[in-house]
Amino acid sequence: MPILIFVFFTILIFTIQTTILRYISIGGVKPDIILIVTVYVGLRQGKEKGISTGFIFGLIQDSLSAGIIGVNALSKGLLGFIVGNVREKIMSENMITQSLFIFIATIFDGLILLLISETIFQEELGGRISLRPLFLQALYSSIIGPLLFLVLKWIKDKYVLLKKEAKRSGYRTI
Amino acid sequence: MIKGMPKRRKDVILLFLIFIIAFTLITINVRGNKNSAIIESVIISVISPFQSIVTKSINKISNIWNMYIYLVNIQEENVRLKKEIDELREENNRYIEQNLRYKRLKDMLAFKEKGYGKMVMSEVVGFDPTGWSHLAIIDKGTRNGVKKGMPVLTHEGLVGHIIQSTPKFSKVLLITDVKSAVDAIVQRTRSGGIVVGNNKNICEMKYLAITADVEIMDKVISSGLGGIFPKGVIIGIVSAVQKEKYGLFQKVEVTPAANLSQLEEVFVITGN
Repeated sequence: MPILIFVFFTILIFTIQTTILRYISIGGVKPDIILIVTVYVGLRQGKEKGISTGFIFGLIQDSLSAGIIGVNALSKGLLGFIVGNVREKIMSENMITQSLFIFIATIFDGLILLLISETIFQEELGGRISLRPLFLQALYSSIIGPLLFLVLKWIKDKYVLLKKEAKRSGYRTI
Repeated sequence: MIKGMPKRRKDVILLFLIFIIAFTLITINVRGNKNSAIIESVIISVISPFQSIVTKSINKISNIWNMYIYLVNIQEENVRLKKEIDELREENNRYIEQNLRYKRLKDMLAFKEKGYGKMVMSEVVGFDPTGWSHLAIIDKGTRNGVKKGMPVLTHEGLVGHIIQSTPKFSKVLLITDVKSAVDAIVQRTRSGGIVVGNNKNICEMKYLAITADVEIMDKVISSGLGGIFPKGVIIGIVSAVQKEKYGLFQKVEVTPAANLSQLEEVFVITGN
């Protein structure tokens, strides 16, 4: 994906995550669309894109939060890598599979953060992550996730179509 | 660089790279190196203007909906009255505080009216993206005199303090975050403790002696100790008290006075 489009989508996703999503939060729990997009990239583009997208997204999350820089970058990077690795073994087109995948991915991401917080940075991160909100967030994300997948697929299809048309008519695309 | 390499080796290199980079960043950050703050500043500077645009647009749309479509006059009246109630509550809180102060210090001739000092009004443009910390991003930074460590409050009560500032934006650690700790006293009895966050929408007052007199609906205010928060700012209301049979301290839950889940405008105290 060209760098400008990646930057645009990154800004868009983070703006939505940090502003609009609080209006649909239930009991303070909101879906993690950053994680959903990381899973989408890992599933559609493979582990190399998955790892880099996850890492960059995690790094930005760390920078915009009160946590330690690198923790989310590590967990999201690993998530992108694992999703990219298992994508050939699952039916990623099925909405129930996608939903289940996002649920497991959210739990996995939270557990990595929990593991890091409990083992290495007990004082710095301790008490931040608790299992109930993590479970609720996983549930919420797994409901929103497949719908977001459809939107992302629609955007991607449109982009590919536009690119083809532009190529046919001799214009350069960004 | 890694094209043509066996798949497994490529995987190992990718994993190795991510671990190395992530742990380097973590180490730099934990040690308080300035380089990590630069990364954060750059990212905040790029993302926050967009947050600001979206939040302001949402607020505008919300205002249009509330003010013109949904019962214009009643809504205006309601907002005005609510604001008036909030102001009166804050005024009442200040009166109680001053009254208690007079009683304790009646022999003093000079009495300087309590004020929170110079304040900068700021709009909240975004919230924490991880869900694991309670943090807000505001649209004032070092250019407006906002610096790390400055207290943040609303007319309802204490919000938190600044943990990082870029020229135009700042991060506010809310009092409900686990990293937050505010030295506090129960207004009625002057019993002291520390109000800490627990990443839920309520706080906990720790180290309050088992013998201390505290009841539900008691107001908890900042003690002024610790050097960050001014004395007498309302933190919240005691919503639960649990006295253990054994132990030195009691468990007290404090509901923040400020509505931290719907923050729009806040004040940063920039000077005395």
